[in-house]
This record gives sequence, C-alpha cells and structure tokens, in this order.
Amino acid sequence: MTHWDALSHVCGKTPYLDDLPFPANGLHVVPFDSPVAHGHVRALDIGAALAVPGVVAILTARDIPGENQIGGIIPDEPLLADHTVEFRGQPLALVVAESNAAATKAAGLIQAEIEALPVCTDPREAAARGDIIGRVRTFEMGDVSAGFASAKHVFSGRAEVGGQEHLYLETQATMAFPTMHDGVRIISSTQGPTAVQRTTARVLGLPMHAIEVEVTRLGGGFGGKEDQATPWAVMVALVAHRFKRPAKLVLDRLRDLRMTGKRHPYQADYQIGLDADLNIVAYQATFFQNAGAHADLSPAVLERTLFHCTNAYRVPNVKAVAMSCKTHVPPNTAFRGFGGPQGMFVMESALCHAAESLGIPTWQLQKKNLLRDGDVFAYGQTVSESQAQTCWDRLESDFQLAKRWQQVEQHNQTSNRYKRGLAVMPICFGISFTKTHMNQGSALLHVYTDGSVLVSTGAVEMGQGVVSKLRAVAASALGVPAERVKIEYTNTTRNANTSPSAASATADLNGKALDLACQRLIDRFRVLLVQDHGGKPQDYHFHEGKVTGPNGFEMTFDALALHAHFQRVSLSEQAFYSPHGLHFDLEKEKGHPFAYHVYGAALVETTLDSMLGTYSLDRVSVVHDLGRSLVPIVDQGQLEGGLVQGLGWMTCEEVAYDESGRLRSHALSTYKVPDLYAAPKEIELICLESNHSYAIRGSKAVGEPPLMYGIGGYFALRHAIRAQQKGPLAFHAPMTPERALLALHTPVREPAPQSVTNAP
Amino acid sequence: MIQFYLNDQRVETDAAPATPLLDFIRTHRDLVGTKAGCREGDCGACCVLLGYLDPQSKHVSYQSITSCLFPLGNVHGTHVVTVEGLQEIAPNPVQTAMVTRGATQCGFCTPGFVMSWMAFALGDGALTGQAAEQAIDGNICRCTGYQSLKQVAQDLTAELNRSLGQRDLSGLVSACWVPAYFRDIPGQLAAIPAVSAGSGSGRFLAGGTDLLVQIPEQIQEESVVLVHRQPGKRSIREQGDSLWVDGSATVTDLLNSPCFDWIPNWTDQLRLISSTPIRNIATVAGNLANASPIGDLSILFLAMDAEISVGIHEPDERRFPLADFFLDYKKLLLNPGERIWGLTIPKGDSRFQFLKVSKRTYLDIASVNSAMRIWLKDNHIQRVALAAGGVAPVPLYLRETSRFLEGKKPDAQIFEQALAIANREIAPISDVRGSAEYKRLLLTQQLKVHFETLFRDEEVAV
Ligand SMILES: Cc1cc2nc3c(=O)[nH]c(=O)nc-3n(C[C@H](O)[C@H](O)[C@H](O)COP(=O)(O)OP(=O)(O)OC[C@H]3O[C@@H](n4cnc5c(N)ncnc54)[C@H](O)[C@@H]3O)c2cc1C
Ligand code: FES
Ligand code: FES
Repeated sequence: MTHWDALSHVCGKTPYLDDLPFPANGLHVVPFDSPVAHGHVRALDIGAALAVPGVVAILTARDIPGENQIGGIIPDEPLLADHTVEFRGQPLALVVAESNAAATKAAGLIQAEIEALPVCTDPREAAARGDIIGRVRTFEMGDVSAGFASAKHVFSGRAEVGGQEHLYLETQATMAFPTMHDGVRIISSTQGPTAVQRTTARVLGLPMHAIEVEVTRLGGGFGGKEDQATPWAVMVALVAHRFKRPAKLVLDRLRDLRMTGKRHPYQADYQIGLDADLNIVAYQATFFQNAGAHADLSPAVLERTLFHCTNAYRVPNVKAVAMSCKTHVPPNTAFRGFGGPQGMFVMESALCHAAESLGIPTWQLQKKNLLRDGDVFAYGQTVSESQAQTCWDRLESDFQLAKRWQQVEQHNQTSNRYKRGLAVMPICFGISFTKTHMNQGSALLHVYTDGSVLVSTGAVEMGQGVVSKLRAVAASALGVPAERVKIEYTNTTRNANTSPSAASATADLNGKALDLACQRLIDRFRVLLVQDHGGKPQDYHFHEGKVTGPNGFEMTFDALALHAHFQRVSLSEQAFYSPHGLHFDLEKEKGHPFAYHVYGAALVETTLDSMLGTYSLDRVSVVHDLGRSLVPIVDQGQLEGGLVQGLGWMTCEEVAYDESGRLRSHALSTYKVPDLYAAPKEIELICLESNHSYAIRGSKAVGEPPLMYGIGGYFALRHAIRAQQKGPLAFHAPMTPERALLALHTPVREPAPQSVTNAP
Repeated sequence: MIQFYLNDQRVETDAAPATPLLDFIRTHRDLVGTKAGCREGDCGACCVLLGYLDPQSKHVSYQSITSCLFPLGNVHGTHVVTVEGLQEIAPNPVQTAMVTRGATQCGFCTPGFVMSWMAFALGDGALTGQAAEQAIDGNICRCTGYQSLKQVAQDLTAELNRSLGQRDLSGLVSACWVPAYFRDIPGQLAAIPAVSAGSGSGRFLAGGTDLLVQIPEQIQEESVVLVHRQPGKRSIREQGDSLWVDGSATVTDLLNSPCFDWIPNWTDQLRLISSTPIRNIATVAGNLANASPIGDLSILFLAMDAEISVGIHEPDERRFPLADFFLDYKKLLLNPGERIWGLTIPKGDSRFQFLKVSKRTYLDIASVNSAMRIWLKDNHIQRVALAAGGVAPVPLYLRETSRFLEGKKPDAQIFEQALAIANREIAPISDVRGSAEYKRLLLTQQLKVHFETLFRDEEVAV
C-alpha cells in the first residue's frame, strides 16, 4: 500500500490552497507588520498606501467587530496590534486590494511611527526581570538534596539549544467567502480547524455555527500551522465578512519567516549526580524557555519539556523547574516534539558532561540507566511495557555499537585531519495530548447506496499520511477494498469541536473513532442480515467487498448497502472516541497523562574535517518501536523525515535574531534546512512490533518521536571534536560549522561546565 | 512579443520581459502544478524544463531551471515544460518510481523533483545514480528525509539504462518518459522568428538569479536589456595562450567545459556553487556585476588572474585585470551602459584550487571562499594569484600575500609569514554568515589547506 495521495502529488494535480480557484472579484489581503520589536504605536500613515490603484481599504484594530484577541491558552495576543507592538513582524494593519500586487505594493508604503522601547531577546534576562508568561512549573520526585548528598559524582553546567523554523514548503495560506445569514466560510491551511473557527467567531463577534472551516490539505505543517495558521484565517474572514466579497491571503516566504514563531530556544542549568556504580541518583534542571512575545502554545510546550526532561532514563530523585520567558521575538509555537526534544537535549548534555569528565563513553552511562518497567516518571506515571532496553539491545547486537565505537576511536588516533564521531540517542516519548481533555476524536461515516464509503474525521492531512491510515482502518473494518473508501476533506460542519492534528495522536484518536463507527454500522447490518437470513450476528463476515454467512450465504457489500437502504436502515454512523484512564493533576503535577510511550534508539556517526569545521553525517542506525504498522511506507517516511528534521535542528538550522529583534535568518538563503547532501548518507532501520491497545490497530504513533534521534547528531559531532579538543566546551546546539571550527581552534570563553566529585 | 511553447501550446505574450516565468505559468496560464515555495531560487518547488533548439542539429536540449527567477523574456524561442506537460503519459517512470518509493509526503515539493529528474532523463550526462542525485541538488524536501528520494534516483538510473537502447527523443517517447508531442517541438521552435538579444536600453538582465531576488517588483516595471543567450552563443574557448569565457556563459557551461580539464576536481568545485537549476541560468557576467563580496565566480576568476573585457558596443573597448574591477562595496570600474563581455584567462602550467565553506555544503552562500593559483618553476613559486571572499567589502584579491609569495621557495616558515600578511589584508565583519572572528579563522584554515594541497609534491611540511 502506498500513500493514497501520492499519484495525485506526482502528477501535480493536488490542489494546495494557493492553487484553488479564486473568483476574479475576490480581494487580496497583505498584512502590514511592525518594523520595530517593541514600542508604542504613535501613528500609522496610510495615505500613500491608500492611493495605490486597486487598494480597497486598510483595516486596523479599530475595524474589528468582536474581540481583538487570538490567544488560545492565555488571552494576551491581539489579532492586530493597537497601542503596543511586541515583536518585529507583528501585524498592525491589513491592506485589502483588488490584486495581490497592489496590496503588496501598498503595504510597502505604510509608515509606522513607533516610539521604541527596550528590546529583550534573551530568556534568562527576561526571567531575571520577572517577565514570565503563565506560572513557573516544577516537577518533583524523591528528594534531590538527599540524592546529591549521596552521589559520588556531581556535575553541573549550562546547556543551550536553538530554535527551529518549520519551513513547511507551503507558506501560510487561507481564503474566506461570505455566506448566508451573516456567516463566513473559510478554507485554511491549518492543523487546527476548530481553533480557526473558535477564534474567528470571537474576533467577528459571531456564534461558532456561523463559521465554517474547511481544510483540504497542507503542504507541510510540523506544528507551525497548529496555532499559527489561525491569525491569517481570521484576517481573511474579517475582510470577507466586512466587504461581503471573497478574500485571500498567502504569505510570501519572507513574511512567513519573520511573522511566525518557531521551535522554542531554551537555556538551562542542570546538575546530575551519579553513585559509584554510575547509576543516576539525582537530576535537577531549570529551563528558561524563550516564549517570544505572547503565550501562544508556550505553556503547553513548557509542560512537555518537563515531561521529557529525564528522557529514557531511570532517575529516582528529580527536580525540574521551567518557565516561559517573555521576549520580543515572534511567539514561539508548536514544532514536532513540542518542547520534549529540548528537555532531552539538556539531559543528554548532563550525561555527556559526566561521561567526558569520567573518561568513559557516554553510551555506557546511557545504557546503565535505561528505564525499566516499574520505574516511575517524575510526573507520577509508572513505566510499563518499556521497550528502552529491547531497543538498546538490538542496537548493540544488530548495529554492533561496541565495534563501531572502537573503529571510530582507532580512526581518530591515526587520522589528523578527518575526525569521526559517534553517539547514541535513546528516546522515550509520551503519546497523548498533555491537556487531557484534548484526547478525543470523532468520525462520520457514510456508505452510499452503491456501496462506496465516505469518511470524515477531525484529522488534517499534511503529508503525515493520516488519510492513508484512516483509509486502511475503514477498508479493513468494513471488509471492502481501499479503493471503495474516500477520506473527505476536514470540515468543521462534518466534525465539530475537534482537536488539532498534533501530538502524534491524530491517527490514534480519529482512527479509533472511525473503527468504532465502522463497527456500529457492521452491527446494524448484521441485525438486518439475521432478520432476513437467520443465524447469529457473528456468523456474518465482512471481507473482500462481500458478506458471507451461514449456509453459503454471500452478498456483495454494495448490494447489502442498497438493500439496507430500501429496508430503511441508516447507512451513516457517527462515533466519538476518547482513551480512558488519562488524568493529570496540575496542582500536584502528578498523574497518568500518556496513553503509552514510544521507544527507540539511534546510533549516529559523523565525520568532521578538523581543518575547516565542516562535516558529514555518515550513517544513522535506528531501532524503533513502531508497533504493527498500518501503512509501513508511511511510517518509514515519518521516521526518516523526522530524523532528518531533528538532525537539521542540531546541525545547519540556526534561527538568529539580532539585538533589535530582527530575524537575521530571514530567507531560505540564510536559513538552511538539510538538502540531499546534508542528510545522512545512509539510514538503517529496524522496526520493532510491540503491541499496545491504545494504538490504532496496534500501529503506534510515529509523527514526533523520530525527530529526537537527531539530537544524537550534536553529540556525535561533539565526540569528533573531542578527538582533538579536550578543553572546556559549552553545550550549545546547533553545532554549525562555525561553532565546530571555533571549538576546534579557539579557547572557550563561555562559562566552563562545573564538576565536583564528592569525597567517598 | 515573446513567443515560445508552453507544454504543447504556442504562447505569444506582451507581458513584461522581467515577469518571473513562474508567475506567467501560474497566474496567466493557470497551470498551478508548478509551486512557489520561496521565489528566491532556494527550494526548487518551481522547477520546470527549458528546452533550447540547436538550429544546426535540430535537437532540443532540455535543462531544469527555477522558474521563479527566470525572466519571461528569456524564454523566447524555447520550449517550457511544466508537470502538466507530462499529463498525456502520466504517470511516467519518474512519477511511478516516486509513488512506489514513498518519495512524496505533503507533495508540495514533488512537481519540482519530477521536473528535475525529467531534465536528467532528457539530458546527455552520465546515467549514474550519482548523476541522478546531482540532478535534484536544487530541490528541498522538508518531509521525506531524502532516503526514499535517493532510492528513486537509483531506480531511475537503472530504468533508463534498461529501457533505452537509444538515448534520444524517440526512445524516450516510445518508453513513455515524455509525451509524443515532444517530437513536433523542434520544428515548431524553428518557426519562431529570432529576436536580437541585448537590444534596447535600461538595466542589463541576464539569468535573473540576482535581480529577480533583489528587486522582483521594481524590475518588472523597468525597461531592461536582455543579455541571456542561447547555449550555442555562450562560448568558452581556447584563444592562443589564453582562455576566453563569454560573460553570458552559465555556471553549467563552465562546469562542462573541457577548457578547465587542467584543474583536478573542477566539476566538484563548481558543484559547490548554487544548484543545478540555478547554475543552468546564472551567468558569469551577472556574478561579477553583482559584486557580492562572496561571489564564488568573482573569487574563482580573480585567482585565475583573469582580465575583464568591457564596452558599450564591443567586447574589447576596455580590457584590464579583474583585480582592478572591484572598487568598493558594490562599486565597479564600469561606466554606465558598459557591458561585461567576457574574461581572458592566462593558460600555462599551473595549479589551481577553489575552496568554499558555508553552513550547508551545497546550495548555500559562502561564509568564506577562497581560490589560489600557483605557477612553480625550479622549486620556486614563480607566480601566485590568491583571492578570498567574505573577508572584505569586495571580492578580495590578496595582493600583498600573492606578491610576498612570489619568488619564494615554499616552506613552512614562508607559509606562516604569508598567513600573517593575509590576516593584515582582510577586514571581515560579523553577519548572518558568521562572526568576524570565525571568518578570520576560516580563511587562515583555508589558506593552510591551499598550501597543503597545491604544494603537495614539494614535500613541505605545512
Ligand atoms: C538560490 C541561489 C543560489 C545562489 N548561489 C550562489 C553561489 O553559491 N555562489 C555565487 O557566487 N552566487 C550564487 N548566487 C548568485 C547568482 O546566481 C550569481 O550571482 C549569478 O551568477 C548572477 O547571474 P545572473 O545571470 O543570474 O544575473 P542577473 O540577476 O541577471 O544580473 C545580476 C547583475 O548583473 C548585471 N549584469 C548581468 N549581465 C551583465 C553584463 N553582461 N554586463 C554588465 N552587467 C550585467 C545585472 O544588471 C545585475 O546587476 C545564487 C543565487 C541564487 C538565487
Ligand atoms: S520557488 Fe523556490 S526555487 Fe523557485
Ligand atoms: S513531500 Fe513535503 S516537502 Fe517534500
């Protein structure tokens, strides 16, 4: 089975938002964004812009009929800035014109008079001033002080990890149409149609039922269109509603880059304690999350950092503190992994620090401390069905970890210019929305009288292959060929109050709902069959497009559908699914937030040119727990794609702002994602097939976890650098060629990591 | 009037010559299979095929280009093919392989990959897996991680080697790689009247890979002089004891030219410059005139000790060392209306190396680049040309360092001194491509590598 959409994609027939027909009388919208990162807006001179032929209007905050508020978690973000701007790129006005060219030109002619205020881009600085969004969160287990007191070795230091631009190839795009009874129909390239609907209703002052949101498909999302597709959709809805004309907005790449948030950069302090046998006895960390100017999803992202701050390791005494620090950059947002990878990076830094100081390979420390069933996470959930050890064992046996390590060490003894590096990255990632109530999915199933099947769920297709999986679920549950099943576009009028397609949970939640809907329909068919032909319900089997039953009964599915219709039996079903047993107490910071965990381990090998600081990723060998994959080619693609995205984050992808809050990595010429050659030369995959009942038909969530293997890329490069440079070396990702060369050839000025050895 | 073939349709248009081809395709013609990912040449989602007719052989040669940057005026007399132009035979072997290997996820990048591989199939380069990978060096995919795409590259190579007895158009048509209408194209292109390139007045516009990035809207409203030329008119040739490189030569022309056979790994070095679809259109003159302090071709030709020919009407109204051409940041020794016609490069028994380091090895602008050419005689350095980019407001010819090395017997001490001199000659600044400190260090390291490589046989310990 292939990707359902693949044939359409390769023929260039898949319509993305900007490809959809748009009426000639439609309006084009271009946002005018703040050129200043922080300041009071004194005046907006729109005279020249209004004079551009084709310009219809320029809308500002005053033109908003409802509430000028788009904050999802915390109401702290206006759609259009009014008195104050808090980041460069913040929308101040909307230029509405007959053509995109006119709107773009006019936007360039608006002059903003802004009284500049001090700009802060550093999260520690913001924290020191008390500029925190939401509350400081603390996850605590055991007694860290006692743990450290009992430790033989204690190491403490700082780690810093950069942001990451989503770089979905399709930029943010949306259109809206006025509908009857004062409503608006929106088509949006969003991962969260319900968020778009809810926010539009709020800003336009309309009930939610007046707003219809449709999502055809996305040219990539990666979290960047979970919350941040919303403002653009609301903007076109505002225009369509006001002028009663269709409106369209497609951000050009430069605007998309400077106006939208990214993966959160983090700074952290860590301290780790080991006993004489090198068991981790205590771990303490403080995380300073660079949240940007508004809350967006930052508090939820922060939470996941805490959930994953000990990665795949057993740590009896933990204290992890985290805060969202308010800075003057665009609000950072969801990105594959959702804060988890940042937490893991810090843990891996602590382990690497310990190992380097003790003169042992980091992987020996990692191996020693892997999670086992019965261990407890700092958030109170007990580890069960852990695959950490199994994955590690397969890595050692099938990919010959010890031998490869030796080869690398030997190579480095004899080679002067080219140094090799190796690192292992085990992962443990919790599956579920950490906001428990969001763990729900819904499915609407129609069988038509010709037996063809139509499915709608809350799932949004963005390349992750969810429609292929849903199709497999329906086909198998109804016993019909996949060709008879069509997955319909996502639409809020078919599936209401949906959760965004995120948290790797989309296929699980919506697939389970679909499974239920199919089951109910089959049950109803069986009742009818028993009525007509006798026997017991379970005597009727649905497979290969037909129903078979007692005494050689056989009927095609299509004929049954028509028959049922004539018998006035409903051919439609709607089902709702929510996994049971999930809970989390925000006061105690304890609970059982995850349906299950996904495990794996990756071995990353690199070669570094110590003369020039350049490097290549030679090979990544992964053992990953996929469960029983529904569509293996989809899952393999998610694995490889996530891994390479994670490697990019750790190597060549560097989000940079200057002190004035201007995005320096402002275009694809200055922000580099992996190309064919920056990706690993070779990826080896071993997929484990453990089972878990919460996973849809045993097929485990795969969207996010593989990204975290990329962290191994940083540590493999660090290992290579260590072949030449033994002095202090800060934990600072990404390891760009610049950082690598400076690390190799100049003394370090960043504060050296601390280490203490307790007297025995 | 611009006339060309778009897929199987003849197009005649009066649109502005600097209109990006992509806009014409998507907006004027509603062919939305070609995607806009960046409009800066950096993602490849907009790749299409550009076919030039060779008037002699009546053969149409196809290349991939980034349609977001190629000016519409340049396509006069050519055949432009978008993904819709394959519809008759879709899915063709490229498309089938991508489906089979799962090499498309969100699909937004996909038509670009298809067209880049179509250029590979239609081209006359080597049919190797490596070449099939190089064909997509200008295409970014954010979803797949490239492994499945690499498998497609292998599949296509095998399939082309297997299915094509004769690697010509009729072979490709009968094996269903391209639709049958391709057969009619040579005759149809021949019927389009030629226009004289380089006429009119205004700003020179060549491949557009700088201008359409820098002033995309403005340039469409200006009058321009189109100086991009058909492949047959972009010569790189030996001329007595020197080489002549036409200003209109593209980076691909340089890469394929046998005139640089004397440089080991020449093609590998040139592949560090932009990407296949950009190299196919970016010109030498454009690179020099753009005067970027990190322009790769500027550095490369400075270190070849090239002379530049400029003039309003004629190539050789003025000819002087390229080293004198770059006056200050984006200031050139070029009078208004003067065109860059080409470069003259001394031949001779010498060694040459170009180095470039950027954040990402391919399709990236250098943090620092450098090139060095040496002429040796009797164990002595007879002559040196050394240039470096990213370390000054201009592509820098390192005069002092070059002069210092001349006449010296290469040894470690001399190199040490040369490094010190070079470090005095440069003044890097901190920007998004690296801190000043990094750039200084990086040039030192590059110079060490130049010494090590170029003097390898001289048995000097560097
Ligand atoms: C994605 C991308 C990647 C790139 N990567 C690299 C890289 O790795 N290394 C690198 O060096 N460059 C790179 N470039 C820059 C660019 O490709 C080169 O500078 C190119 O050689 C410019 O040539 P052109 O024909 O496209 O110029 P155009 O954009 O057409 O013109 C550039 C300038 O030259 C002038 N001009 C053109 N022809 C003449 C002439 N005959 N006489 C006088 N003036 C003339 C124009 O008026 C204009 O000012 C890249 C560009 C892009 C878009
Ligand atoms: S749109 Fe990205 S290269 Fe043309
Ligand atoms: S498939 Fe999404 S960018 Fe390539």
